[in-house]
Amino acid sequence: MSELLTIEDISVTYGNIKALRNVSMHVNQGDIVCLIGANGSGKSTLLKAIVGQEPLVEGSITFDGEEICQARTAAGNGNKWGRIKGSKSLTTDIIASRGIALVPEGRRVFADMSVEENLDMGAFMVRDKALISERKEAMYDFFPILGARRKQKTRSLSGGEQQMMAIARALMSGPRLILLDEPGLGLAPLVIADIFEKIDLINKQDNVTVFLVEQNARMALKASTEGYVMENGRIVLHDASASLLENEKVRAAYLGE
Amino acid sequence: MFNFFLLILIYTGIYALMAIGQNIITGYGGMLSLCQAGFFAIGSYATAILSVRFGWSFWATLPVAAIISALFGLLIGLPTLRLKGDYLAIATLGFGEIVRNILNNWDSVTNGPMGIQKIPMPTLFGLTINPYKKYAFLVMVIIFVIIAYILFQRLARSRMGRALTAVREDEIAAQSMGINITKYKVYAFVLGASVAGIAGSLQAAFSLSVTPGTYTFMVSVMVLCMVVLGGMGNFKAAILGTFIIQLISYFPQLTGLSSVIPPQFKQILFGLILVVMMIWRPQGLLGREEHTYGVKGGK
Repeated sequence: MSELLTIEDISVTYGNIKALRNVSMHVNQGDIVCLIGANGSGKSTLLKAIVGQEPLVEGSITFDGEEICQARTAAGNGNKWGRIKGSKSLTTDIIASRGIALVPEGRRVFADMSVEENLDMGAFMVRDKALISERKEAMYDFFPILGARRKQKTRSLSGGEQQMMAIARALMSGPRLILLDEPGLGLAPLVIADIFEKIDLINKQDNVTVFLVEQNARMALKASTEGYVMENGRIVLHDASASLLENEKVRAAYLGE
Repeated sequence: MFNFFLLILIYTGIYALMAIGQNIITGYGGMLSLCQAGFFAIGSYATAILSVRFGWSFWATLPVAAIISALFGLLIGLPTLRLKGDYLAIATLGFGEIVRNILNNWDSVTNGPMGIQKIPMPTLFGLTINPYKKYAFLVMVIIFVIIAYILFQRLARSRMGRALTAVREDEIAAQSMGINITKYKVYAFVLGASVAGIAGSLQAAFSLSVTPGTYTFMVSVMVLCMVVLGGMGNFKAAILGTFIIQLISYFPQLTGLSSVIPPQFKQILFGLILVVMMIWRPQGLLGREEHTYGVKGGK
């Protein structure tokens, strides 16, 4: 199994506050890897760093052999046509075009567009219209509820349906790696179970590598093959998910046992 | 009286071009820009200087005016479009004022507050489009508005329109869909600037003189009012809004009440319109035009 995503020794700061401290991780091709941690431990910051939303102070991120994010060297700031000045980091849109799709925290659907338009938007990078229709039909088969509501404004969908739509929208670009930021946020347990089932299918059937960030540690560890635990911007534990479920510390801190 | 109404229609046409530009920037791109007057001025002065000093014909100055405005749009757009909301508004407001101050003080080129007079009238196929014969000029302006309307309407339905809609609704989501938000924002800004430049060029050819006093901040505010009143994200509405605002601003003269109603009246009214619209009909008179961004074709 080859490493698809490699995060090497990265740090991210917000002003004087270190949000990530020398984090190293790797995601293997075809795996479901999860990252669990409490509120404010730096999980979302890590995802933002991967998609180029937050500049790195140290370290680098490599996707499929290509360095996509690099620490800034000089006082470079802001982005300029695809590359962030002062480093060789790619901007978010270019990173997306390399095959990383982010399902952002809080779903961030285009509320005033219909389900279908949202999915079309997800395929913005795909130029082949036949392929777009084919993928849309596949999404409607995969999430039948979206098929039933394809003409409906996304605003009128329930939270769970919106989450499914956000995942479907991310899949429309045909990614190799999908980043999920708290897919279970604010949803009923039954709906969460449904969504995790879909995530598992996406991984198994479509062979999409999944990197999952979740507060719901039990669900995340059950669904994944490998797990990382983050505390105060540091990775404190890394093991197979099954072992983490048995880990005394994890059980006490995250599973409430 | 009727002549006066024609004058209002001509100004409606000229301002409608600016409003169309403002609509692509604010209505579609969601960027609160307040410098259409700056691009308007640049277009006017480009035409004035090129035709008076260098003897160019109006038709030769027109594309140059558009290109120079577009270049300034790029110049101001690249550094400022990372700003959001009110920060962008202040930066663009500053730009508009800088343009006006330069026009006021760069005597050797712009002739300072005196402005440039005796701009030659545009000719077409040997005919002079004399601004004193308002019909001919009105037809010309209307043709420009129609062309701009068709082009921008097509643009709004294109890939770029989709991208701008996504950017306006959610920048982070748009980016993670592979949309280069800086690129599309700058495109919108540059296009909006260039159409304002064309409006400026027409203004110069119509009034046959340009003075810095024409291009005040109030012009930018008026253009924004036009778009907000009509309905953001709707080009027809932008033109309708322009017409209504123009009627209002010439209301005292139209009704012969200019001795009773003070000139500040229209500014009070614009402010009132904005407040009332925001409370009762924030989407504008016509509301946003619904596009379906569906991908057609396929199997």
